[in-house]
Amino acid sequence: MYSLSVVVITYNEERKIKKCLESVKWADEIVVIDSNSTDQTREIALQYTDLVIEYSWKGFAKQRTFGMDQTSGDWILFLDADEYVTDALKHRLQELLTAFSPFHAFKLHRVEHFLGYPLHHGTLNPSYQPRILSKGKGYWTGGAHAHIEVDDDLMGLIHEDLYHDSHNTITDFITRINYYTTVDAEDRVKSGQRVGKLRIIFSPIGMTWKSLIVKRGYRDGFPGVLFCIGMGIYSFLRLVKVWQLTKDAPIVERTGNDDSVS
Amino acid sequence: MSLSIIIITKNEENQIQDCLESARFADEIILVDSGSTDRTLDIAKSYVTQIIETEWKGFSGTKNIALEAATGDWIFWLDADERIPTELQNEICEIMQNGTHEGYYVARKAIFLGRWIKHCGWFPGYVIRLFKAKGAQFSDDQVHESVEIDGPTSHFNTPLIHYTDLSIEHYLLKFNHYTTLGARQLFESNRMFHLTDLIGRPMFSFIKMYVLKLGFLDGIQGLILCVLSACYVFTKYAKLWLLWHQDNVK
Repeated sequence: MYSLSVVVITYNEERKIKKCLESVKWADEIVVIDSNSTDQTREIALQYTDLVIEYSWKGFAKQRTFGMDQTSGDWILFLDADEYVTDALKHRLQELLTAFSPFHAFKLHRVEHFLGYPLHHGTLNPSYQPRILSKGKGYWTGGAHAHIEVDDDLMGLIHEDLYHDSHNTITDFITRINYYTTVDAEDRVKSGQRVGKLRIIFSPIGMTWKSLIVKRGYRDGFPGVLFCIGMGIYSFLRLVKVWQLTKDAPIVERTGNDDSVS
Repeated sequence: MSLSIIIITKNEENQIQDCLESARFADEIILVDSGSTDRTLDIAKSYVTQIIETEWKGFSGTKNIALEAATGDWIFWLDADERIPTELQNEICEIMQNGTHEGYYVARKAIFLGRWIKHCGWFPGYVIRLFKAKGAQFSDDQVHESVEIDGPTSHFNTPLIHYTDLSIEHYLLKFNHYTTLGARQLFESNRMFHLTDLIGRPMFSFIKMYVLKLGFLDGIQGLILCVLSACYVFTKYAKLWLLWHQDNVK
């Protein structure tokens, strides 16, 4: 019999944290790594565990690594506050703990939500996210899309559903894509990506087409279509931010002195 | 004749110094701040005549507070992301001596991501900025406030410089806020959502700015601006849909 620790990273998640922690209260240990929430997150989390630790935000990988260092379990399940474990997944995980596993880490099948509706199609699906690690057998790394570093053949898949109830409002969605496209663009600039006008036009159209038609995002109904267009906007913003980071000195003027700005 | 420049701020530490430098020629500067948590007020202290700290009362409400505190015969309304170039300062002084109108419009050179956007329907984009203090009042609108002038108006020759957005991140913060306000305004006026709002309107907005208003001449910044504007329209109406939808669900 192996033990399971759950690491949840939070920042101002008072509306969601309860549902998340409720879904894993059967685990042996819960560790909440909070990056200085100013709402009730901390108080709510303390109802489920004594291990609520403040740790200023340093990026997904670092928060989770710090969280892992606080755990005592054999297996670690990493959750965001807007994710929760379904009953089917719970049973699958309990089964995992009963026997030796040849894998060092697992990806979980994550069902994305948009404005409260589950999305089963589109570019995000099927979505498998690294969320489980055998302690000491791997580590977290990366920026916006942090991942667990282990050998490919030691990464297992779990098909039971993890629910991801993010983006409850469009405002929230835009705030998130604003954040993620910045981090994502920085990663891409580091790996040498450059963009031009044509790419800025066609890449987002391609992305929307792909998620809406090729990946049949339209089958998720009106919210699904909105989401596919949102993916196109994501792609656009990411390219524009790459452009912004890589452009040379700002072009203020291209004409004579009488137009000068300063 | 004396001039009061009125400015409202919240967390403008990156912009406020250059803004106030360009306003120094005025007889007084009234700054109304709604809870800045950065260095805005520290920077402003050495420039302004009076700082008033107040809670946010909407654009027009907050500006009216500044208006009441101003003692000049003429008021110039300046935003933190705007600069008054020297030629315009001279024009303002000239008008205070000899001006015969009640209010004066000024064109704005909008600098978007480091480039002056000359097309896209953004220039000249006249806004009323200089007016006689007596009886002036800001009118009530959630997003675009304006000042009510009773009498003849004219305009300046020199444009104001407007640093609209230093970065895409910053643009999106405003984008998110204004689309919410815009959607709520439509919702409260009982405007229903139509599917064409999400298809026709954004496309029309893009074609209008990029093609008809020659936005393609503004380089990559023009393209980015026109696409973002279409996204703005799309988002506003998507938010309107959500407002009606959530209302039905309840």
